[in-house]
Amino acid sequence: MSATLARHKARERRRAVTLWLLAVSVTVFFFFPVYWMFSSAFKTDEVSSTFPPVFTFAPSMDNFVHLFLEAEAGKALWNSFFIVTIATLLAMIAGTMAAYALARFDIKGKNAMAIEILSVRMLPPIVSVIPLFMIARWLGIFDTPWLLIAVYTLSGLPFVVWIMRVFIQDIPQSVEEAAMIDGCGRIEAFWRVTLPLLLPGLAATMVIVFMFAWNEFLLASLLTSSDAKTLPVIAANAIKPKAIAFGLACAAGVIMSMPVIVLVLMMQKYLVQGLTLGAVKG
Amino acid sequence: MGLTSNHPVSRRMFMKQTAALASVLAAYRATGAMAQGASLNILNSNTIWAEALTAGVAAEYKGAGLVGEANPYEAHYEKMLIELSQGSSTFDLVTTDNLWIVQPMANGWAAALDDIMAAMTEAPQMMLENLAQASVGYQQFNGKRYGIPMVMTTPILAYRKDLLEAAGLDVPKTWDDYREAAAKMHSAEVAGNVLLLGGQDAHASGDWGSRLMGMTKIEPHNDGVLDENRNVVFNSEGQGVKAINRLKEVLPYCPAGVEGFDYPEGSSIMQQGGAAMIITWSDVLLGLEDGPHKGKFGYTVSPTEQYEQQMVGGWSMLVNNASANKEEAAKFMAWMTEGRGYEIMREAGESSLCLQRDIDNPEVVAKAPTLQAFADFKTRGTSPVAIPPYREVNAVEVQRVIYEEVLAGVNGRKEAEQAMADAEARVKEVLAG
Repeated sequence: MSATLARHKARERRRAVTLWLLAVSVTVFFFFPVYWMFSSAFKTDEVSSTFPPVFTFAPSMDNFVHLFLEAEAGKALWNSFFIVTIATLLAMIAGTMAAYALARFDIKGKNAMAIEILSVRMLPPIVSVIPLFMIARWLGIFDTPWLLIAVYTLSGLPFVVWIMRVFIQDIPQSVEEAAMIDGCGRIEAFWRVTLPLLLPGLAATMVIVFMFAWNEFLLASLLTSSDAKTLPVIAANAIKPKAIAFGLACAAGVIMSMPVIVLVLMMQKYLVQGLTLGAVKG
Repeated sequence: MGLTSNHPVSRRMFMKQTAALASVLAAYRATGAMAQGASLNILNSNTIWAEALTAGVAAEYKGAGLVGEANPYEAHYEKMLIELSQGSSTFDLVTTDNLWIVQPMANGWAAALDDIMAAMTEAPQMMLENLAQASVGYQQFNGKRYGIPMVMTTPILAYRKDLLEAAGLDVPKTWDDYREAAAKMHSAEVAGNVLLLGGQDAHASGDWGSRLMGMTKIEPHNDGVLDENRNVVFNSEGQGVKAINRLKEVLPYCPAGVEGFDYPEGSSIMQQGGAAMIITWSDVLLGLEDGPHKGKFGYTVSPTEQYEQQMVGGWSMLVNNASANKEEAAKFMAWMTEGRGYEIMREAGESSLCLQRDIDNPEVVAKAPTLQAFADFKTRGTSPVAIPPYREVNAVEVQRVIYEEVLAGVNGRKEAEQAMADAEARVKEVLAG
């Protein structure tokens, strides 16, 4: 009996060790490119192009110095923050309110309306470049942050509407009705009862909308010139027409990914709930 | 405090929030205002010479301020099309690959320098005689001059001197020599050579074009793909098929993943020591001497089949027809032709030079090794020909069709003869509009 138990325990231990090793391997596999980007950001051109690659080297800040002093990455970073933050907030506010209306009210043709909203996302971005360029020139907002704020808000809106609509539908209407019986108006019931329950969904959606806008290159490249240029455009310039400045590209990658990493860490608590919400719904 | 609070937003809170918003906006506007000023704005590339334009050249030129916007290669072309076709005056000067240059000139998006100069009371003098003759032809259209060259490039053979020496071989001068060298130097660690199958310009012009140009006799003003009357001539004597076969014979000596290689990947693998030879445009190879194998590379003019002739391309600068500063732009170009601007580019590290006194200076050639290819033009008797299909307004579209068919022939999806027959038919369709 004891021999059987010992064999069972040994088998369990082997299984646990195997799973642990597998988990570590998968983590290392997915973490390695991130590690490589961070380490290459501190390498000189000569070190970063050495093959076989080197793992120990004297770190250099040259790439960051070049980005901030010569490539105007500081200004682009500020532009990215300003544009993407405002666009994300506008998309979240307007999108959540629209999603609430579509989820809760009996609006005639609301499904068609929802599909119409989504159709904005079906348009390839390059198709809209020339009309946007012409509108921007006509309004005098070419190469200003307002153009990109408007574009990113509009492109984020359908995503917010569709995702938040599902989150709102998952919250029982009876909760709001109870609040309204207790004396809340419709808006107050939404503000005090529904919105707190939506926080995980809002956080998950916001992070995704933020990331889409933060990494967007095509429109940022073609609808700006010097004043409203964002970070992805500066980062793309590390890939020279006919060669790659690996260190510079990785340094730009580090600068670009830091705000997203910080945002995800801040929202981590809500994100886990938000991304799994409804996963076990029967 | 929120939308539904029973307490109204206090005046103090309102003032605080307004002040915060105002300070954010003010800070933003301040950053924009700093960039403003009387200057020539350049739609620019992100190359060494282009960076030098808005740095060293801008510091030296006192006639006007020079600012610019650097762009990656594809984004540069897209932006040029959108800006110029819409009559935008954002940019005063536009830099352009010579492959794209006819499009803005033929469509009236670029202003003729001759017309600008004629309207000036004191027109500056253009000293084009200071520049390499092969570089100054691209900016002429319908008998008028539209701009000046920035850099001059040609396909060159870059090779590892140490590996070639170890294999006991001389520098390849013919495609037979090249195939033999690729086969002998090829190993598990170092590929014998590298092709750039993944890039339209890289493969169509750098790979296939460099082989095509030595197969038939081509006049310097022609490009080997279309003649003066827009007839398709790239396979008139079967040379298009032969060029594909020349590529196929060295394909086995390429590194893994070569199907996706464009200029950056080809340059990078040479820099890292993963390949022994490459034939591509001279400006592609600037980074080789920054890598761990610096000093081990040799550079010379590309091998040939029968005739010593090679494409000479590069980049140029045009004046935006919608610019409000056309006269200032013309003055700047005239100053550039005096030569100091090009010297500053060279001092910044550019080696695809078009200033003749630099090309002729052995000290400069020693410091800018890719210039050796131009120096070899004289010893080998190489004559320059134009880049294909430089006379076409939709040159990029013609090149795309050729690229697709050449690639199909090289990677075996089509027989070389079929690929060239299809290419001829498709190019004719594109030319017919």
